[in-house]
Amino acid sequence: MKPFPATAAMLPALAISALTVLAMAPPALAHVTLDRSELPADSYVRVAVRVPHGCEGAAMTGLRVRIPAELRAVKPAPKPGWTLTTVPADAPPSTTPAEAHDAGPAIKEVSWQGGNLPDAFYDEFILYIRTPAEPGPTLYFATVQECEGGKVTRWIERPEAGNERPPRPAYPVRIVPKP
Amino acid sequence: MPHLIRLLPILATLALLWTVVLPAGAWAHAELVAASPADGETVHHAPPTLSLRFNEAVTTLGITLTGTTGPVALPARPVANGTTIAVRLPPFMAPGTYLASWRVVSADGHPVGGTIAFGIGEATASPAPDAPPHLALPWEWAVGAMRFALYAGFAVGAGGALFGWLVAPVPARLRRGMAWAAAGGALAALLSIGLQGALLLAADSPRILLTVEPWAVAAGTSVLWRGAVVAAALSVVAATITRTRRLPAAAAVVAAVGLALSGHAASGGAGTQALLALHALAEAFWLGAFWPLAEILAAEGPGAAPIIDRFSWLAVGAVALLLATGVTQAVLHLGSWASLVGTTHGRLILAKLLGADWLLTLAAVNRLHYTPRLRAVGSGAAGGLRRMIAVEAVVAVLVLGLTSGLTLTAPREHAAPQAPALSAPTAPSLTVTPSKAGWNRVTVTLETAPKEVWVVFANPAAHIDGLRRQMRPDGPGQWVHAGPELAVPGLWTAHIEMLVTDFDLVTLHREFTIQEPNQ
Repeated sequence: MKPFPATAAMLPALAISALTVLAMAPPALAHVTLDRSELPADSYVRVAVRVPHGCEGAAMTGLRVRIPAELRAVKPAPKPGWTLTTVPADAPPSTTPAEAHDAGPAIKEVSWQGGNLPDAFYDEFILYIRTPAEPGPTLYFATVQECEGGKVTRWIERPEAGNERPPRPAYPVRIVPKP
Repeated sequence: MPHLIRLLPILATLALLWTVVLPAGAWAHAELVAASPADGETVHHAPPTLSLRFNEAVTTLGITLTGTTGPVALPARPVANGTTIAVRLPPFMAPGTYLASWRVVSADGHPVGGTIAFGIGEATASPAPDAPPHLALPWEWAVGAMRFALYAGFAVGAGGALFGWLVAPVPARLRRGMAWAAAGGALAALLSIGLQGALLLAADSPRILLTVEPWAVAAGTSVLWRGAVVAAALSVVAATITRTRRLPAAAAVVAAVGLALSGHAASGGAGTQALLALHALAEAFWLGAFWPLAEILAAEGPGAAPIIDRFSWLAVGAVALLLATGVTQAVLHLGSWASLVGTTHGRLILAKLLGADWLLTLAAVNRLHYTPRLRAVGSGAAGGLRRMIAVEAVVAVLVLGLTSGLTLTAPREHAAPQAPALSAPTAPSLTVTPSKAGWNRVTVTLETAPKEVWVVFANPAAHIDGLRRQMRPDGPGQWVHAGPELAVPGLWTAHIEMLVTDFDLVTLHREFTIQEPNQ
């Protein structure tokens, strides 16, 4: 008879946890974030910039992402309905292909413009990046949302002494050792 | 072992709930989308409700409304309706600027707060100088009178306890009187809580003290702690002073600490509070000694000489402490000679200094003239000393009355020095003109040239936070915002956000003081 009470106790417990998960789900995230908070060093990784909201209720019409200078390469993915443009980095010219390969991203900013993402909807914007060679640094992905009515929401604040959790933070990503 | 197995499902549930709950709540923030009246809007008549619309469903933590004459009590609790919070506004709102501070929390996130400013009528520039006073009843007088009763009970009861422990045992008849005084002081401390709440609510009728409202309002301020600690300590004094000597003296010290727990000293930090506690202790010892001294002199005449000597020796220390802490506090609170003569608070301090000076003179006469003659039988010195003490007691009552008045007036902290904009080379500077509640022009002088500059105002003492305005460029390195938002006197902070590039934000923090409008 011993297994029976255990199973009986399991069922309501599982039900409670399922309900809790459902209740916790959608409105949880209001910040623009990435889908990963840790990236392996010296790897090619696909990351998604997650946009759960517009600006104070207005639909988003443009997203600009500043590429951290520590990344060694970046390729943004085009998105139907949006115009993709990149801003080149002011890097010194490299002489050999090997140097160019390791010189860092040739792009400092990626911008998707011209679309319309209402505040009630969610979307992701994809980047294919090459992470730094060594683990350790924390990279900050600063993003700017441009919305209807000229509204702008900036996720660019860094934690500082006395303000470790700023209200509009740039999303931090840690570079961890390659598995 | 079987019992542990039965525990496993519960542990598993808890573990699952823990992993679900822990990360999810970390990143949610509600944002204010719209407000009615809108932030920065002026309406002709007071609207019936204030409504705030957010981008997510939120629950209200609290909404406070502050006008130019002080906090405005809201007649009902805010009502949440999906993404909108609405709160009824009081029926009569005088023309002027109002600051509505809100705090909400979204479904599972951080609390978020902010402040909007709106104006009623055309007087958003500054309140009319002869606008009808907001207070229907003179609650300030009631608070002052109750505070006087508290100080008197503290001086006689706690002071008597200190005398009984430090100088000489107090005659039994007096100890009963001191117990009553201490009990009265405890009652006054408790009643002060309700009266302070009624003052904050600007209530129309004394019957409000019978309801829970003023007590609940005051419970949110530091007045509650002071009232509770002082009442408890004075009750201990009242209960034990007729029986023993050390316990009531210890309770007297606790009561002195309790007196320092609120008011202007509280905002100055632990150091200012320590000054006030020491001041209260010294004052209680000195004033509380008059009655037992007079009584002992009457009872024993020249035989009282050793007691008088002992008291004199202690009193010198007490008076020195009283003067030192009093002068330090006055300097800290006033900050300038001009405030001493130019403000009500300063003039009251001057009057109190005169009264204290008078007391000191009388005490000096006591010590230098009468006390040496006390031992000589038949010199009549005992009678003379008693008369002096009686006069001192009267002066002491006056000084206590002045002290009660002092606590009601705000100390004038000196305005931030007006840094000349051109000759401030390195540090970014903030100046506020005219630094009085009402219309102000805030100027930020920077060396860098950011793309945008925003300023977020906060006044923590008035529960105002997150009042955000954009500054406009006004010449090289100068950014300006002019408006009526700084409508409440006190210590304000400004967080200046400078958008250096589209992706880089630099924040500066500055503090400044806003004074009351007509002084």
